[in-house]
Amino acid sequence: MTKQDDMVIALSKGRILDDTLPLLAKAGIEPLEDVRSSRKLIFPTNQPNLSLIVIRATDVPTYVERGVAHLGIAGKDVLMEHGAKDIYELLDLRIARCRLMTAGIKGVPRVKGRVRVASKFTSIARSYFAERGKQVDIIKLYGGMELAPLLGLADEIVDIVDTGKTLTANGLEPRELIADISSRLIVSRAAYKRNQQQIDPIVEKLAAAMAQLEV
Amino acid sequence: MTIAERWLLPDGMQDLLPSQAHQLEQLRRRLIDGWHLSGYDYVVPPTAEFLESLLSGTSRDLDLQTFKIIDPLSGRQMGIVSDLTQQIARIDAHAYVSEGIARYCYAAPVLRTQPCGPLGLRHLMQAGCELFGQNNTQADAEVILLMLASLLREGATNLTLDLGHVGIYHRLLKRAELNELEVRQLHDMLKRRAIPELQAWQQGRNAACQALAKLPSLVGGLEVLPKLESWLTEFPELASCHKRLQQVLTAIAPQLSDDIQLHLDLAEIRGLSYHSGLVFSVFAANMGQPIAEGGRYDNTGEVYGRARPATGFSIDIRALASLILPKNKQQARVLAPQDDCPRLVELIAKLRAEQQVVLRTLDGSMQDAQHTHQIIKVDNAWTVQAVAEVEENG
Repeated sequence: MTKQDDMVIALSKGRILDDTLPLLAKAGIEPLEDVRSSRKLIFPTNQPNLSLIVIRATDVPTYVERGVAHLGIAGKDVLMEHGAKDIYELLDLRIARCRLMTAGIKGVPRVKGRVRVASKFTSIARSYFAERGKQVDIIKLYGGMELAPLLGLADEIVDIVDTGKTLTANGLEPRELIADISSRLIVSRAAYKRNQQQIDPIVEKLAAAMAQLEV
Repeated sequence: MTIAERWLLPDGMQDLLPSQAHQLEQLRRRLIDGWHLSGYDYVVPPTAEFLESLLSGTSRDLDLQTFKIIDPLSGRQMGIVSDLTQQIARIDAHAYVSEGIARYCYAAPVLRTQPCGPLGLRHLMQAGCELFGQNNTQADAEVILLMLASLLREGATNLTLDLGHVGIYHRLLKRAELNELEVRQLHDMLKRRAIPELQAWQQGRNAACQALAKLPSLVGGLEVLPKLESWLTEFPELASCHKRLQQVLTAIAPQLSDDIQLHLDLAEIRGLSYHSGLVFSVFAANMGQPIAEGGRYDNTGEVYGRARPATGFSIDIRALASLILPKNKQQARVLAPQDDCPRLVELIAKLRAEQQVVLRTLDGSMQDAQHTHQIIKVDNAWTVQAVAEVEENG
């Protein structure tokens, strides 16, 4: 028999992490120290041969696709933007839910011809507008998207909308829904082939934990 | 132009430096020699061909992976080889026609437009074997066992052999009556194993669609085969796929070493679209991509005017090397003085005949960056001494 690989689960920092840790705990996976206050990057857990890494959300698909992390938890927005090829999306964890939308200045009609779109989700934005027969100029920004239409840098933005309060506060309105977003449990294709016996129980426990938390 | 622009390599391109390059070349030779002894004839196709020959009957993925140039002689578009299998199929169909079974092996660099393989390179060394003219279980088993034996002989350990059969997907698809866009969406969801999306997609659709959405449940150990068998009443067209999987497993299982773990994945539809039957790949620890893969691609030769059953595999030699070869391995290098003494010349010839590296000093200083041994005269006789010993004695 071949030896079992040590498993690594990559978690996204920030808001997703707050929703992820209770779910993992319900599934019986708990880090041996407080992930949020520690400056460490790798955390052993109460499960033998299973550790957690906590990294930027956008890096999670990269670690998993390259096979250095076996599983990961990442938002659907990040996965769509990354265009990951060798990743399986086994479970919709239904946490960190929000919407990916287009938005523009309230009451201002969409410009004719080429539209300037500011977003950090440049691939999603490009393919979304292309599918609708619109050629757009994409402006890559890393944050504060709402500023772009206000200062005339862009006509529209593509961004994550949670409550919509930031948009309203800045005189913007949400327009089209691109996708409903939630976090997914992802697995490296190679890891799934090699370690399915170790991975399946984790997936099942997480599915059961989700069901419990939602009741 | 800055100095950096003169030496920077494009992304995904890499030099192989002395010890690494030599080890890789030895690995390449051992593979080719081993395959030759199993009856696979070595062929060397050209680095570039007309695009129609390279890409006919293959997938859009391969098209996107291929660098294209214009041939100034003919005005036609040429592609730089991104996968050798299609070239070997062309050779079998047209350049070297034989009626019976034909076996070929190859090892050549290929270029890809996108980084790929376990090392994320765009410049790969692809080596492999292809077998034409036989569609039976024995041919499938021979190719799989040859691939595994080659990897194990080179010292790869702790491997996973993943087996699938793309015929199952193709046959269900025939019955599913989907339009082109729906097929693309399904393909994408299956590739990502997006279980939640597949579940939503199959609702209200026909039985074949529901079966397609359930393909990811046919994944695991040997228990997958009885599961597939239970589908046969509803989908009798899958019987031949089931039979072939079972026969191949029966043929190879007794010959698998403890170093190889078997995994069945009947939802595996990846690979290059020319595959038509049994497909397989080999995964190693901590590598996101397989180090070897292959499968059956019957009738690919049709585009060249001759359809033949075919199966084969290819290995990414650089990835295999990174898995098995020691880093910074230094071979002994003997430095010989510049002296015409016939006994010295004789000694040098003898050492080289014993596969030892001997280099002559050029300026008499006995200085060489990497030598480990020196030939020095002790009591009027030429002897080889390790550098440390020479320094101690000196």
